[in-house]
Amino acid sequence: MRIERLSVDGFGHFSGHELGPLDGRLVVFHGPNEAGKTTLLAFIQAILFGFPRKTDALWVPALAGGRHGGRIALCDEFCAGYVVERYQGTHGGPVAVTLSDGTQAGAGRLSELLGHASRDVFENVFAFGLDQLQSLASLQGPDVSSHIYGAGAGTESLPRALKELEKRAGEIFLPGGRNQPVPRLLGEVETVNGQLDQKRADAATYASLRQALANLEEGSSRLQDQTQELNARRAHLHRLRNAWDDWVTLRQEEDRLYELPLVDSFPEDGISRLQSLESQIQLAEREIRRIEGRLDEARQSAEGEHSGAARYQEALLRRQMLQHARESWTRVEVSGRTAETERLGLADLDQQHDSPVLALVLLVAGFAFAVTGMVIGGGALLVGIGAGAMLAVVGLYLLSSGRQLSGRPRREEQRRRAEAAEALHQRERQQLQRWLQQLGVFEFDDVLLSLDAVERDIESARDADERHRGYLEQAEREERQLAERQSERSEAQLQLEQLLDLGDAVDPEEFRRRAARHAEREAVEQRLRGTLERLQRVSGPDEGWRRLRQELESVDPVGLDDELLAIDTRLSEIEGELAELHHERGSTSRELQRLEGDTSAADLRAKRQRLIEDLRTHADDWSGYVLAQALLDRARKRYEQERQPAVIQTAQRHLETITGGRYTSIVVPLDAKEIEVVQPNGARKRPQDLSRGAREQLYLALRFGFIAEFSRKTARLPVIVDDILVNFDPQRARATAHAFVEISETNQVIVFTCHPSTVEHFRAASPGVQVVELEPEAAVIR
Amino acid sequence: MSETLRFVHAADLHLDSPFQGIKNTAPEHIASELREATFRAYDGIIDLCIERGVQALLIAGDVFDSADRSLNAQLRFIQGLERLHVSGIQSFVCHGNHDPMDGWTARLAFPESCHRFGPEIGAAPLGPDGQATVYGISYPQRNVVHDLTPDFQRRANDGFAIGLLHANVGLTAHESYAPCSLESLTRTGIDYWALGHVHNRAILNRSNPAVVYPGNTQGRHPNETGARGVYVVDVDTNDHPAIDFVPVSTVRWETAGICISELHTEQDLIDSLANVAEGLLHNSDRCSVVCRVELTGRGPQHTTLRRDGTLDALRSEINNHLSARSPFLWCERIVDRTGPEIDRAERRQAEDFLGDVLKMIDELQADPEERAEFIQTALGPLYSHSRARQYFEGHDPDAAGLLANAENRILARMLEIA
Repeated sequence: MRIERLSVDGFGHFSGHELGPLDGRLVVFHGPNEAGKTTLLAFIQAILFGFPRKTDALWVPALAGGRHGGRIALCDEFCAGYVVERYQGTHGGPVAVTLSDGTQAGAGRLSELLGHASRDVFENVFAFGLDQLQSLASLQGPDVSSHIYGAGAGTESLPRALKELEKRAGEIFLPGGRNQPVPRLLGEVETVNGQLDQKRADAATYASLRQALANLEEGSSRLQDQTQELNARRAHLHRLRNAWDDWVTLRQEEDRLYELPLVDSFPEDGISRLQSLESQIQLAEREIRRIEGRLDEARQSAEGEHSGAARYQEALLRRQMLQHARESWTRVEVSGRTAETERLGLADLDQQHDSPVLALVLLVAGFAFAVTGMVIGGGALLVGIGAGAMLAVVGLYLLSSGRQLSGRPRREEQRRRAEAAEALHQRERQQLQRWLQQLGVFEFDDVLLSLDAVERDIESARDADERHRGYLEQAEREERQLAERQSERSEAQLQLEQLLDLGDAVDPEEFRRRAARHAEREAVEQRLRGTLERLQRVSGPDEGWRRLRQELESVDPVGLDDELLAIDTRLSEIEGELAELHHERGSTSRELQRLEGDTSAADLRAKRQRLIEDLRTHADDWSGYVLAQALLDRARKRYEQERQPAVIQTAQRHLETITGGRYTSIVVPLDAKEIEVVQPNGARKRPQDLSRGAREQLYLALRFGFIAEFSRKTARLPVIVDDILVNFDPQRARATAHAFVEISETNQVIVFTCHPSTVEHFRAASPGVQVVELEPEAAVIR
Repeated sequence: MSETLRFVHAADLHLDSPFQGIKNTAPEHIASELREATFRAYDGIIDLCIERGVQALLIAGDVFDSADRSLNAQLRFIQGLERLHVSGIQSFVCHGNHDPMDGWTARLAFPESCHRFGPEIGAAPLGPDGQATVYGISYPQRNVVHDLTPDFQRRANDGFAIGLLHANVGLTAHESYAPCSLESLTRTGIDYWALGHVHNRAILNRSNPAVVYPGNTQGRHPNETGARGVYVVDVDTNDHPAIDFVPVSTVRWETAGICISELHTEQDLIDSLANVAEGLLHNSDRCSVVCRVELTGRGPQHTTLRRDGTLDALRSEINNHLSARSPFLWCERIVDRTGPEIDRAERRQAEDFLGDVLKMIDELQADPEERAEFIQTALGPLYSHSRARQYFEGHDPDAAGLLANAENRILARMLEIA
């Protein structure tokens, strides 16, 4: 691309100025200071890339009037013409591109013409003054190469981008840094890890605590068992001790019993029974003696009355016999009369005649007997009345029945009856005879007389007989009593014998001795029983007592007390230990409950996950910045590797030319950010070691390299320089002019200078150079 | 088998384990809901067992994370088993890599009706009449890397034979614990393989034998989205199992993506986020939702999103609206993967440094090996950091995404500065 004409409507002190045609490939604008060289450079930049901000150093107002802006006529590689017109406005001012045929094109076409170079690329590589050339020197250090290459690539924003990316990455994570989010989060995660470790340790503690609790419970129950055993032992020992006195007593009584003679058996209540029997016997004997006395007395008294009583008995006997005789006489009389009657009755029957006479006779006879009996009195009276009554009855009967008996049977009957009555009468007579004989009397009348006499005897002997009988009865009673008493005594004596037998004694004296011994033994045995009972109340019977006894036999009361004391001591120790265990169990249980109910670990884990996620998110963010950096770095390295040779080669060729062979090559080590120049002898110098002029020559050479590279790859843009030779010596200035001439073969070169020597250098290097003289008020085309 | 058999098959309870992938602090009511979520799911299983009158609950390992040594988890686990015991429901438990036998606190008493399998293969009758037999084995310690299935051999009078095992069937992304194959499972003659370990439910084989992963009971990770639960298995008189999924999780993880290319204003962005969030909550079967939203694409809102605090503000907008509801939706994070609104293909063509950078990124993306090495080298200082590296285990951000993110940052800066 070539600039053919500049039409300035208003820019700085230019107003309505036309500069052109710039037909040569190399144009030198020459003019004094303030002629407007720098203004024109700014004009070109403003028209091609837009007006800068008013605050920009390159901002140039339209001081001399005219519309702020203007036109530049261009031609491309193929000499097609364009007019680029721009006036000040928003976004750098609107641009209009007009083709030679009048068609309009947009900013895109302009960008194409400019090879998509940015204003920065243009300013740094293609259009520069001494300031820009020198300012490269200030870009030494890490940014130099990227700046240079960036400039070459059209993005010198690379270092800033790199810087910002590095800064942003460093704000997240910086190796060795402490205050960025990543180390901060790491710290937090590690803190939480520590807390979680504690929680995990808690879980491990839980198991051991559970074990500990079980152990404590076991220990506690073991101690309780021990307490129980000790209490049992203690109670037992107390029993032994309480039994001790009884035991001693038991032993003593047993010894005593052993010493006492043996009394196998002895009747119960022997002594009292003995005494009772003895007194019974004594009493009985006393009674017997008394009764015997009374008996003798009664017997003697009865003996005294004996004759009277005998008389009385005889009299009674005689009277009885007499009475019998009298009765017998009566019966003889009656039976005689009956026999007579019957005979008479028989005789009547024989006369066929019934006679009531017999009945009447009998009746009268009966009556007579009765009177007779009354007269005689006593037994006779009764016999008389009886016989009289009987005769009277027979008589009455006969009177009433007389009529019924008749005929022959009756007669026979009557005869048998008469015969029977006669027989009876005869027997009665004989009986009477016997009585009389016995009485020694002969006459019945004597009987009656004797009866009176006997009655008198009876009367006189009656009292004696009664007394006699009384004494006899008394004696009889006494005898009976005597027999009773004697029987009692015998009975008692028998019992006494038996009792003595039971007591294994021959007499009461021995019995009493044995009784005393027995009682003593009994007493001992009773005490023994009492003691044993008390002891067995403690031990229980049988086996229990056997064991207790065994134990008591072997026990030592002092040792017993010692053991009791030891047990009490141990018990109080255990009590303390149990209390301690109880306390420990409580705290262990509480700790277990706390662990079981502790859910803070879940929160910690959630927090940990959150922190890790935050860490990862930051890592991703950091990764973005770091990768962006790495990508830029990688791209830059490749750029350096692939594009550097051409840039550097061109640059070092130009440097060698400019410096007249003083510096023959330029080196840009891959890992270093610094450029070094090499002298023919191999000595290397860094830019800051070079003189100002040489340093500017190095940077200029580098720009030539980039210009060539850019032109080769992209577009051949005009190279516009503003008085850059001022620090060059004439020889190097000339050489530089030659270099520009060489470049002008590919790229249009426009040089602004106020130094005639510079014009001369260019003229010398290229005789056909177009020189434009700039006057302060107007440009003159020569 | 004379009677029908019904049991619940669960696995990977991970009781008391925290939700992962959450970097923001949730409001207390949500935090407590998340903290309790694994327990609620477990309680839900116990309730389900009782309601459905099953004969047994089978748990195929990873009851809790023994690395956490959570007493709470262990105690509440046993409480649940006690509830089953009281209801006359048997329980069978084997332990896996996260809760190996050596990770359990000693001296915890399991109810009588719970059969815990030991480190050797064991068999236990299921049901009063031994309708079924459960075989099982537990990991004695975390690392069991050999196939345990050859130890399982059914016997003639087993009834319906069930194998309870924490294992990895086939080659999956999961860490290979007790690796085995469908063939080795089939050889055992077991009728139903009640497996655990894989967190996403899967029925690898419906019958002869049934090979079933119920998945975990509560999603705890952004990748564990959707309903989580257990299988209720009804075995008919022909020994044919009917396998029915029943969700028990109370909180669901969900993820959603939004492309910003058509969103012109910030309000469009807010509306779009609100719609997506409402949609997630609406389709959650009355479960609460923890969600992550990813913004992708190129568009004008990229610059809005790049402003510090924008993402948090958007998140608050959603959460203010939905996190107080019951069930709630809580947006855990909004991830920005958007790019600037440029024609990348065109920018790539430019013969300049930026063009070179874009071209180089494309070259790297095309060569995963080179890319991996490049990323590893660049991120080494942090990812190999002695204190930090342990926290990045398992955190493998997608490499392409990382580069794309870096590119967006480069573009943002280079273009902005330019």
